[in-house]
Amino acid sequence: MNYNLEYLNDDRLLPESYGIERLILLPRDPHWLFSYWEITPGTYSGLRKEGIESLILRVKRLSQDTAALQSYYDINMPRETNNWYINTGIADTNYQVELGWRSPINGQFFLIMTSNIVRTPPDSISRQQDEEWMLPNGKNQRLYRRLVRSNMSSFEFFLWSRRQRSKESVQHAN
Amino acid sequence: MTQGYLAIVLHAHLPYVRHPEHDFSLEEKWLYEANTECYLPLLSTMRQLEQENISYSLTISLSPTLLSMWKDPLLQNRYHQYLTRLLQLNQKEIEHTRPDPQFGPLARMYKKRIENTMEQMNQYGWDITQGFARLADFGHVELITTAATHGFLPLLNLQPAAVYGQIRTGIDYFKEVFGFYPRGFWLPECGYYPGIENPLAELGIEYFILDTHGLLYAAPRPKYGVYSPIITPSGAAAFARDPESSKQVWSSQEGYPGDYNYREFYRDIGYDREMEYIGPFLHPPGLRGDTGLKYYRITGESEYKEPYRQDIALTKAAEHAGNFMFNREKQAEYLVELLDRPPIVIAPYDAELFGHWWFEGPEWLGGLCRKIHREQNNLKMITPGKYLDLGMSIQLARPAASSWGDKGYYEVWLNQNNDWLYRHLHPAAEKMQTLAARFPDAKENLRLALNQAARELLLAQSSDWPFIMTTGTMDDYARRRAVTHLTRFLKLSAEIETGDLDINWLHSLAAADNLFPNIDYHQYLPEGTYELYPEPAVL
Repeated sequence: MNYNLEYLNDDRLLPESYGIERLILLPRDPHWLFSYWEITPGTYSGLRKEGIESLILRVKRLSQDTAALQSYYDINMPRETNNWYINTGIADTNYQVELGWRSPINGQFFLIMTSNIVRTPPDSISRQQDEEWMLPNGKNQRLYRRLVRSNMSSFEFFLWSRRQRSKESVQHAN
Repeated sequence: MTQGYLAIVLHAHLPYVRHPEHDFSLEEKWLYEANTECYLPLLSTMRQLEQENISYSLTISLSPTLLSMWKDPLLQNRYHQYLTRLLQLNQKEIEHTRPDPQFGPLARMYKKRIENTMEQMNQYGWDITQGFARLADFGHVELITTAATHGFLPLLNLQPAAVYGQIRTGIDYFKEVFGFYPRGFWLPECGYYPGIENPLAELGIEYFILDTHGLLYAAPRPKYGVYSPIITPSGAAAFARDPESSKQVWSSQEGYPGDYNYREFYRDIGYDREMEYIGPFLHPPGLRGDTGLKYYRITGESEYKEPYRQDIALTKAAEHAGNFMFNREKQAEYLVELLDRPPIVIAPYDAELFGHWWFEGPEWLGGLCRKIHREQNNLKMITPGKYLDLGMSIQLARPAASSWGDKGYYEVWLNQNNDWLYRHLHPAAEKMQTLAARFPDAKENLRLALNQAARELLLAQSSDWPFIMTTGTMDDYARRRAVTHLTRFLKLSAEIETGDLDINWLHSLAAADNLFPNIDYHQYLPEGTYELYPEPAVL
C-alpha cells in the first residue's frame, strides 16, 4: 500500500471561497456572537461599481417567541472583511444579523443577505420556577448559594490541568 | 441508610492519530503512553477490585476514535514494539542503577509494571477493548461513549445531519465493539446546546452529562441544583458535574495530585541520561522525550528533586482517598438536610489525568472504591444508569447552553486561532448531505468513495484540532490534520460528483484513514429517511 503523504493529500490548499453567498451566525458565549460570510465575486463587483467601500453588519435583537425585531444596531467595516466578533452583552436572547451596504447618495440600507437565528447562552439562574419542584423555606437559596460559590472557581482546575497538558506537549515537541 | 450517591465518571479520549506513513510519530506516542500509564493501570485497578469482590460503581466513557485505535492491528503491533523497547531500556536501567539503594528499587518497580502491562496485553490479544468488555460483564462498570471523532457539537449544529452523523457513528461503532448499546452519552467537552437531546433520545440514549452551570442555569430552575438529574423534553436525562468534588481533586491550591510525595512528571530519564546511552530507546530514536521512567518525587516548588518513594506515595494516595470519602460524606450530610431525597454527586474527570501525570491516580481510585465498600453505610457509589433505575421522579427542565472549557461556553473552540475552520467545516457537511441525497443507491467504488468522504468529514470535525490551535502547542499538527481531512474530503466529493474516481488513491486513503469500517453514508440523508434504531428507551 502506498502511504506516501504527498500522494494521499491533494496539494491544493483549502479554497478561499465556495461560491455560495452565505452569512452564518454562531454563539460564542452569553455576550458574544461570531459571524462569518462569503460574498460571491458577482456581488463584489457590483459593490465596487457602486463605489461601496464598506459593509454594514446589522445586529438584530429578536423577541423570544415570535422572532419580532426588538432593536438593532449597525457595525461598519471594510468591504473585504469576511468575519466579525459581535459583543451583544445580553445573555439568553435571540439574535440575527444582516449584511448589507448603505447608499453613498441617500444613506439607504441595501440588504445582501440574512443569517440564521441564534440564542446567546444564559449566564444566570433562571427566574422561571416550577411550583411543583421547589424546596421549602429558603432551602433553595442555601443550596444555590453554595453551588454558585464553589462554581466560581471550578474552571480553575480545568485550566490548570490543561496547562499541565500543554507543558507536556511542549516537552513532546522538544 | 443511603444518604448520598457518588458517581465517578472517567472520560477516555484521544484523537485518531494513526500514521502508517511514518515509522515513528510523536502523536502515536500519545496513545502508547496513555495505554501504558492510564488505561491499563485503570483496568488493572478495576480487575483487582473484582478479584477482591468489592462492590463499586464506575462510569467510563470510551471515545470511538480511541476504540478504533485499540482495534487497529498496525497500532497494536507498534504498541508491542514500543513496550518491547521500553522493557529493553528498563533492563539496561536495572543494570545501570543496581548498586544504587534509591534508584535500583525504582528501576525494578518499573520492570514489574511493564511486565504486568505485557501480560495484560497478551491476555487481551493486544486489543484493549477486550479488557473493558470483560470488565463490563461484571456489572460494576457502566461503559458509555461519545461522538464519533469527538466533534464539538454546538458549533456543528448548523447542519443537524452533521451532529446526527457524529452521534450515530459513535453509538453504532460502540455497539459493534461491545455488542450492546450505551445507556449514556458523553457530550464532547460537555458541549451542550438546546436541542441536542433530541437526536440522542432518538438513538436510545438515556442520559448525558453537563458542566455545573448547564444544569444550574436550566429553566425552570432545578429544585435539586446539580444533585439530581433533570429530564429534558426529549426524554433523555441530564446530570451535571459537582463543583466541590472536582475542586478537591484538581484545584492547584487544594488538589491532591500536587502533593510533594507524589511522582514528579517532568523529570524523566529521556531528558536526564546521556544521548549515547538513551538515544536508541527514544521515540523516534535520538529525539529527547519522555520514556515514562521517572525516578523523582515532586519534592517542592524548586528544581531540586528527591528520589521517589513508592511506599510513601501509596500511603498518601490512601490518605487522599480517605479524605475524598470523608468530604463526600460531609457533603451528603449537608445536602440531605436541604433536599428531600439523597443527592447524587457527579464527579467527571479526563481518564488521561489518572496515571499519566497523576501517577498514583489509579491507586487513589482503587483505594476510594475499597474504602466506600468497607466503611460506608451513608455513601454509595452508583452509575447514572443505575440511578435512573431507582425510579425516582425527575423534574422536567431545559438545560442551558454550556461546556466545561475555559469560561464555560464555546470560546475555546471558537476564537481567532481557529474560527477559520468553521467556514470550511460547515460547507463540507452540507456537501456530504447533498452527495448522500444525490447518490442514495451507490454501489462498489462509488459507495466506497461516499463512505470514505463521511470518514474524512468526521475526522476534520474533531474538537481536538481547534482545541490544540487554542492552546498554541502542536499547533502545526492540528492545523495540518484539519486541512488534510478537509482537502481529502473535497477531492473525494469533486470526484464523486464528476464520476471520475481515482481508484488507487481511494483505496490507499481508505487504508490510511481506516476507522469506522462499517460507516454508512446514508446517515447523511435528510432526517427520517434513514431507518432509526434502537428503540428509544422508556424512562
